[in-house]
Amino acid sequence: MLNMKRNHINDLFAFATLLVGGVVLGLYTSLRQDNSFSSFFVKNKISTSRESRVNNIQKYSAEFISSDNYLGIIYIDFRNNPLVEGEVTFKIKESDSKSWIFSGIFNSAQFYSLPNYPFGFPIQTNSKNKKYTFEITKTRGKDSLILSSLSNVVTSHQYPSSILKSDLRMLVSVIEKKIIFHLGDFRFYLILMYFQIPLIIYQLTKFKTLHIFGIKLKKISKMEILITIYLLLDVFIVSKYLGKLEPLFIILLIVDDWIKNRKGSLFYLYAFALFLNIPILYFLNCIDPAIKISIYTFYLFCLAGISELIQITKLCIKNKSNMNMPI
Amino acid sequence: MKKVSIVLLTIIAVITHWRWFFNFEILTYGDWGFYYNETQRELFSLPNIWTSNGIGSVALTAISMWPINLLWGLFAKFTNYAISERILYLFPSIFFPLICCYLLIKKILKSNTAAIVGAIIFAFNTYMLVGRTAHLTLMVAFGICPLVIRFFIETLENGTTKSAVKTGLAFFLVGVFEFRVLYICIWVCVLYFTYCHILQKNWRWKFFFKNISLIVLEIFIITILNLYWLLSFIEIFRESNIELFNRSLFGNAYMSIAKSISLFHPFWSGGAMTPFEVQPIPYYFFLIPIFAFTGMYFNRKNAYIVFFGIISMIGILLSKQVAPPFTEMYPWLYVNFPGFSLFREASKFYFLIALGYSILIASLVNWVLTSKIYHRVFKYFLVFFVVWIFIVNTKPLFTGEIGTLFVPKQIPSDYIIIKNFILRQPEFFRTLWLPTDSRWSINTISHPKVSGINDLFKFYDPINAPQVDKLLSLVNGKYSDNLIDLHSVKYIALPMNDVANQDDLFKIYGIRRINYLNSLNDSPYLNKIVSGTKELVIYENKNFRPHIYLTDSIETYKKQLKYFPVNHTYRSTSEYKLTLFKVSKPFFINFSEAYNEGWKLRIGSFSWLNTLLDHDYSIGDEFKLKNDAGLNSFKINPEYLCNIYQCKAHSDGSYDIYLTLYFKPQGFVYLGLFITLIVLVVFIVLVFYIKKKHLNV
Repeated sequence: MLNMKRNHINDLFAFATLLVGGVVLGLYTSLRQDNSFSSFFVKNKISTSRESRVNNIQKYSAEFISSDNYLGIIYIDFRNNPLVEGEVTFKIKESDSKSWIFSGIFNSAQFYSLPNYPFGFPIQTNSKNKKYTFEITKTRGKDSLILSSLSNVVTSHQYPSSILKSDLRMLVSVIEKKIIFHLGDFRFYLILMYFQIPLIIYQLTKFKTLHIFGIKLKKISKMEILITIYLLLDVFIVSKYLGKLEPLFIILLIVDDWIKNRKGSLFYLYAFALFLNIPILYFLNCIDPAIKISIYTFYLFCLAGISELIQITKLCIKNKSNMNMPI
Repeated sequence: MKKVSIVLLTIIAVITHWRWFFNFEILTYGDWGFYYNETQRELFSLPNIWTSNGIGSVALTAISMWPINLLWGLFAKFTNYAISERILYLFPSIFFPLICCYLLIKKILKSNTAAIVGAIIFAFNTYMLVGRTAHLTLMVAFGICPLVIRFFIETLENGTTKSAVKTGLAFFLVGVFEFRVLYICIWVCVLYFTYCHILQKNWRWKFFFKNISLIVLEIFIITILNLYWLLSFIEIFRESNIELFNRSLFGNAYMSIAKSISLFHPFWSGGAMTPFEVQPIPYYFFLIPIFAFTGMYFNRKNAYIVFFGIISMIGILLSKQVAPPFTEMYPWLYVNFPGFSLFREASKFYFLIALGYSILIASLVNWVLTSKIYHRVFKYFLVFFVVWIFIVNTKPLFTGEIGTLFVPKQIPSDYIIIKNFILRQPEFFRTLWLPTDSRWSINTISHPKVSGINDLFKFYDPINAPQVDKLLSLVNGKYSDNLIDLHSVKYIALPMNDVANQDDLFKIYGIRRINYLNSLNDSPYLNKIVSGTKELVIYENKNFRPHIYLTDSIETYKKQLKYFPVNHTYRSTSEYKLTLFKVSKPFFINFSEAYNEGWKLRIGSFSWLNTLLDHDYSIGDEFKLKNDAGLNSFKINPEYLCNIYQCKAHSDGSYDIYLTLYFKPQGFVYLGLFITLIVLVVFIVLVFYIKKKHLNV
């Protein structure tokens, strides 16, 4: 009875630790995507929007009220798959003004590889509460652009660092806005979820055997939880490929595989589990973690191959190979 | 069942590539060019190591393709370009991958369904599809590779000479289409040989040596059949640097480990072809490696499967080029590993991934189909799903939205007018196309087309023209007139803005057509020709030099020299006969082909055999010069040279000199060709003799 209670407390403690750790690390990882310390993103509601087509020229225009000063970038979410070739003109102005603040021509093929496209323009110092109109016109190319249903538009505001240094209240406000934006971003929740994986594995350690896609696995060890935590920290916190941290992961995994006599099955399991994350990370535009996971996956597939080679050689020694060599 | 499967694959090929099968118009795009009938006919000749294309160069890649080029030339006598390209390249590029891969997988897995699925994966992955939009020589060669590997496996299994001969011939066929693919294919077989001998059940030296003897026979066949270009290649490699081996790495930014693992070509958009625009990986592509390595897991006791698993990993490692991990590995191999410098970009190693994955996924399909665990519906669903992932890639080919070689092209009438206008003139001259030549520009041995960007631009660097004007300085630079004269350029042409044929050259090189037009109109040494064209314009350069001519001093582009044409006859691109009458004072012979150490001058009677046997056959290299335009010049002192070589002396002290201007490595081409033909004849006689003896017994 006492043991069971202790187990529950242990579980609760592990869950709480990983949750808090996940929140901190998730927020840290998410915040790192900001262009600079003094910039932050804001979601602005679009008040009016209009799409027209005159003489086969597609035009989209919308209005929004900037909720902060120092407006400099507007992100437009395109949904173009397959690629739409042609040219697009982007223009932005204050709604009351006649002259445009910025007008530029862009190759629409870029929106395929960068769907959430950042249109930059000269920073608008006093943009707070001002109404802005932007226009996207497809000037060349036969296919139409597809924009996601825009009810909100994300803008980026870049405060000069000199102001933030001199005004503490402003600095706190910027940090607050940054955190609020990222807490509302589903990327944060995904990273948070990633950091719960060791907990799931911890729960799996309680099973004696485990079947995944028909693969029978022996009991998952605590060593594997540590390896997973190590992997997550490297992928999301270190993030950039250094070529130094991966060998330790490999060594730990080989040792674990050898001690448990898993004959390489652990390499497959890790490789498949990791590989399925790559599209998710690409979708979320987390490029560095995606590359890092790709590298880990490659190592794991190589380890699996080497392990199979060893097993096959063993089979050959026992005269069980299917290779039909002339003897 | 095997026949039914092949018929099924053929139907799939025809349906997915129906645009090739149900129209017979010209298909050309990117690196896949176009030949007018006049050019195509010239290919029906003996192999030549020197090509007159552009301003002349060593034809290293073209000469290895000589047997195919011979067929191009032969076909020109009966049919047109559109039919020839279909028979020689387009159809094989789809049929070979499907059928050869089917035969390999059938051999390994003994399952028709799995072999069909594997063949579809191999033929319809994005790398092979992108390749089929322009790089057909590669795709045909890659298509044959699985069959070569099957023959090689059989050779080691049967241990018969017949299998070894078959393998050797198949290797040769791969090399005819692309010798870089032959290089990759040889390494796959070397690895397989090593792997087999590591895993041999009861190791015996006797069998090892027997296998080695078979391999030696295969190497002998490959070498002998390729001797017509190998000897000259070795000679050129020994004498000078070959450009093909000295190119810098290209396309580092395009490759990544994620793209390699998911067997995704960086330029594949799923719609219109987007060369050099890196595309994101569609999410379902990440299922491909999952299927492949699951196949390896379930068939881990099958030594063949493990081998092809390792092959795909090697493919991933190489095809990612300099992307992490092991970022320094590819550049190191490129510099240090013999033959690796042929691969300036790593995409060709996608073949290894495609081959490996097609076998691994086929093994998964085979495992699932034979497994008793899964319900029949699940089995069919899996097979359908795997096939669908790859068949869906062919949608842009089917609809034609990919463009490229899947949309017929029409020769604009302007180019036909220019072609006829140029070919009406019998003398040798070049036509310079600005900024570069169009695929429709006429190119023959006596009327080569020259690309401003590719052939002449390099000579303009020392002129110090402002960077922005460098392209235009090809016509309005300080020495443009002389440089163009020296290169025997009679006409300068401005191609059309051919948007309809995806051939808008001005967009690619960034200067508007009107700017060139203004520069050409303002050039005092050019006269606009009224040729009846609508858009294409052509200008005549009156003072162009003949192909071979004399000057009193060394030729230079920095000043106008007086020149004298030479009476000469063309024998081949590597041999010219010159006759000089009554010469007495020293002079220079100038030959307007790109300078190469291999060009020699012989005085007196000439034989190719003697060029190989006699070291002092030509006049010494001290008489050979590279003029400042990068062309060949020879200093001739009649009095001195006629004391050594055979000339006809006149009583007034002048001489008649009979010379042969030849490209020395061509002698090795003829020697190699001779040996190849002799061995082939002996080989055929032997085969008939053995067969007859066998029948009599």
